[in-house]
Amino acid sequence: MSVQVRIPTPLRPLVGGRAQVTTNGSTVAEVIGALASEAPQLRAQLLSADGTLRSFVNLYLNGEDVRSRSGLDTTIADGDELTIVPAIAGG
Amino acid sequence: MNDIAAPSVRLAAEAFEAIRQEAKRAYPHEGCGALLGPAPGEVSETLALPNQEQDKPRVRFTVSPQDYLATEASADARGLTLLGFWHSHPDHPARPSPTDRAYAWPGLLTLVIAVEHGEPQELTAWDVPGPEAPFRQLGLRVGRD
Repeated sequence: MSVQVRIPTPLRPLVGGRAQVTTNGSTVAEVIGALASEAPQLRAQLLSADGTLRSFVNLYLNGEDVRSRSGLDTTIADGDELTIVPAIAGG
Repeated sequence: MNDIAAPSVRLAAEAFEAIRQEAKRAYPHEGCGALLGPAPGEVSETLALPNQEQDKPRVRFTVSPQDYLATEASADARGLTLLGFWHSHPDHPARPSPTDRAYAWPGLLTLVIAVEHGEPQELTAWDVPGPEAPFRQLGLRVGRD
């Protein structure tokens, strides 16, 4: 499945400055894996050592938080858009 | 820590004043906003954002994903870059907290302004030079010079 991935500003240097990347995968995990194979530093920014989505990262598939669906196992349809949003917070 | 290589930040005078005013308005809660500019280290404007923290807004701030996306889209549409975010520390020094570090992203500036008894005080600039690196304080210049 072809999917458009919107890349947030702090991660753009890892993908050649691009704001949007087209890649493939049948699940969110596969899409992240495909991205990481192209830009290995992305993996550490998005996933914990155990392979789960880092708590400081939000992923939206067609505008819907994947955590409210099946997380990294959420299935992808051809033409979907995955948006990576860094959690901005502090104290 | 390699302060020699640390870049500095230039903050437009109007943005500096806008941060001070929003930090004062938000007191005793934390205020926050986005930092936009034409190039790395050159903040030309700030956009105040609502602090979405519900439980502890006096000691925490949260920018909603929707506000993040809208801000980034606005920057992209105008040929600017989303350079980072600022937030205030009500009655607390302008030094980043462990919580600030936990959420910090390499590639995004963190500006912190202290607000003492409702009056804005020191403003400091920071970044994290790597995913596991501690905060690094940056030089901060206000205005053109």
